[in-house]
Amino acid sequence: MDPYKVLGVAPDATDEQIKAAYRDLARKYHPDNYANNPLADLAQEKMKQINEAYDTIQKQRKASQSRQAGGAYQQNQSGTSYQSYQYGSYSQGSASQFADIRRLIMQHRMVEAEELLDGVPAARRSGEWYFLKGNILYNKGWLDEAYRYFSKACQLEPNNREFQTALQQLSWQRGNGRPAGYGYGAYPSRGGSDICDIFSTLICADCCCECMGGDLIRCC
Amino acid sequence: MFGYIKALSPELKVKEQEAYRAVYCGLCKQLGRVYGPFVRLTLSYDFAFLAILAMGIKGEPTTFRQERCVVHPLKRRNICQENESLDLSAAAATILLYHKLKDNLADGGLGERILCMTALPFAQNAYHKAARKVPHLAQVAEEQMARQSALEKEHCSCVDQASEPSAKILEAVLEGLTQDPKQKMVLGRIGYLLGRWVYLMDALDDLEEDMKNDNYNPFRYCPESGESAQEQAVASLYLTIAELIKAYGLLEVKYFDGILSNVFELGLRHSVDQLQQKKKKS
Repeated sequence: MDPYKVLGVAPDATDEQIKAAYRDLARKYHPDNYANNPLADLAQEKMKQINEAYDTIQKQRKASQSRQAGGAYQQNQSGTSYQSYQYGSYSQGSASQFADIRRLIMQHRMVEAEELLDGVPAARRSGEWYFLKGNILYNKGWLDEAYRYFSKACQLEPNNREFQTALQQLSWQRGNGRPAGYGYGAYPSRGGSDICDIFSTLICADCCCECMGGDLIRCC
Repeated sequence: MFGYIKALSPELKVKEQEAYRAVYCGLCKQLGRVYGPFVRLTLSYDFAFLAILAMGIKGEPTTFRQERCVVHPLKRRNICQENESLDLSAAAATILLYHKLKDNLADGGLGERILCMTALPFAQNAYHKAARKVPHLAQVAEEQMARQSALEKEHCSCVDQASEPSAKILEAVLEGLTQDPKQKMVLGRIGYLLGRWVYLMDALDDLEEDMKNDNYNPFRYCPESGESAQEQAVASLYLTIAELIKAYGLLEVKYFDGILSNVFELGLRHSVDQLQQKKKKS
């Protein structure tokens, strides 16, 4: 696959443009965005493609640069892409109370996982229990219930990072209507400020200057 | 459905706008041609979106031709020519229209019931035709609509459960658009969430009226959280949109990515905000 196509840039794009495109895509397909998601495997594949494309371009460009400079190209394996991104939801699952259920969830065997989870007596339902139940609900698309269960998990164990991350993600989405890390603002264009922004900023600046006795725009 | 799934048109390119409209017109003609003038009248943007999604995934070449039509007799317009995606979208629209009429007949007001009674025979004929074309979809719709009315009768207080029948129907529609197992997974998730979103939009739209008339509405039975019913509805819709955007990011589309990403990333949220503004005014 053409690495430039993967990153969505033209082959003659500058290094800066490529870096920016890579950064946007990496943010979009970041494992945090797809944690516990039924589509996490696909997102991981996508992330791998993006990383490979970025590395390929970097290598090609370095090679051609060193050829032009006449120097020997030193193989530089220290990839600059986000290789360290870990997919798989339960990286920090320390001593888990429900290791077997976590394994089922990882294997996408949700029905069995839910059955086992529902069989846990009320007295043993810890923060982790609520978190795992929230996960199963989230997978089915039962988003409101998932949010409720994640909240409960955090209430019971407020210091657990794993539960917090899950809850924060959904809270953010409830307030913003888009995943964290996506480029779109309210509705304006992707390309930073538009002409209206610039004018209103200028007029604001003018008003401020006038308050202080100066003037930025003479005519108003 | 209800016409909530729309692009935010000022953000579309001119050529995208034109293609979008041409598909809308093409669907209108398709509905008239296959299912008759009555079904044609119920055309909505939801199914134009479905047709565009189907074309974008299949990647079959879409042809546009300048034609006149009854609605705009004076001007020739670009109209998308008949293809598999339009055909499927028209069939889905007809099946869901029939169920909506039946649903309204069962629990609408008097005026609504009379209207549905007159319309139902026309829809019935069209429905049978569509059901022959996509029997699997007709069956899913039948089952899920029965499930939905059962849930509404028992005053289901769980928003997720109440929206599930609607979600399952669109899940079936979208899964039918591809054979590729990975894409099927993505489309299934998108379909589920989109069906859920449409159902919840409709619930938010009717919230005040349902409260006044003491009708069922999933948001009336809010859990103990401090949010009002409307706040909860908007948060739930936003949450669904965010999940949709993530799923769409993993879909491989060959055409119309500009239009489709506009719908997911801007259009859906704009519909929610528009609805809120309408409520504030009234």
